[in-house]
Amino acid sequence: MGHSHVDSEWVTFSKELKISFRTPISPSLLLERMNDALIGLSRALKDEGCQLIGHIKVLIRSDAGEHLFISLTSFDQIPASKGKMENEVSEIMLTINAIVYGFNEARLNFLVGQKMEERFKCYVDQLSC
Amino acid sequence: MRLIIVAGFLGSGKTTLILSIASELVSRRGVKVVIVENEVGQIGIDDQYLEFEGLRVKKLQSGCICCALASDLVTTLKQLQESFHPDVVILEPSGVANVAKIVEIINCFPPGSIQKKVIVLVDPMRFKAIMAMTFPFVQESLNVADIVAINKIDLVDQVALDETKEEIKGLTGVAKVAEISALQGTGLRDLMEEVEEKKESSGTFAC
Repeated sequence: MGHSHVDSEWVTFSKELKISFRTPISPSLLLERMNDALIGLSRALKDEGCQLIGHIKVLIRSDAGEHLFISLTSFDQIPASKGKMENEVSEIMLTINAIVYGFNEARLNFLVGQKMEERFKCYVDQLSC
Repeated sequence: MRLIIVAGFLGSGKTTLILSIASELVSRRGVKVVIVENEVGQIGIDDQYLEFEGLRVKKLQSGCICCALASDLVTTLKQLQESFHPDVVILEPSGVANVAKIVEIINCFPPGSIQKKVIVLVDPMRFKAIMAMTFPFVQESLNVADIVAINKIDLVDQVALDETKEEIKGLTGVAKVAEISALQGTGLRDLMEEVEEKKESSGTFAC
């Protein structure tokens, strides 16, 4: 996908995931795992020749009605988070939205799934899209 | 109706700034505010986040308001004007939108019906990389800005900030250049004063 007003080609990824944890996990662990997944994704993008991260944004809504917003805008940045989660979470709805330049859309799709699975597989039975 | 267009490249901090501005207007001043959110992805995040924070949001999804969704933008603004009578509409175009085209669309409304201000946000940490990849696009945005706000100043040193400021001044004509941290609230009072100035300084197009 491209855009007629921007010279360089960009591709997008957006998906909602529902994640049910085997046992409730703490908000700090959830944030740590998500940050790890995003850092892993940005490193993989860089290693595979992606030219620029437009943004990678994640919104997490917990079953307790709390939310966290996490974003990453460059290869070497630590993800920034906003919002507040205080209660343990047993289930979350995750929205991921990414736009990157100079990369393959299918590969971006694969990498997002791979990094999420790597960081969350020991806490869940299945990641369902 | 007043319209504040908060534009800027992807990841420049538009949503964070909008949250600060809108919260100030709604909570402290009792102003009736609606945010119009335009995101390119099929599932929006910024709109959900702003709604979680208690703000009124109208979504324009799955396309860009400078081209594919241009008529939706016009319809949305007209409907808001007629049915909700907001004091202020804050418009967040997607980070890949052509701001000049959006200004052109807004200028086709009857004279005096919309008083607009265009803020273009710049991320000083990525400015050079973004310019290298999307030069004409960024230049076009700067051309129609009333205010160019260098955001995230808490994350760069003074040398980098001064360099970015000089570069921007060389690229933009009449726009004022502000230095802010939307996340920390630095410089926002001055920015709001600039936004509230009556004079519109740019973006004159014939319809």
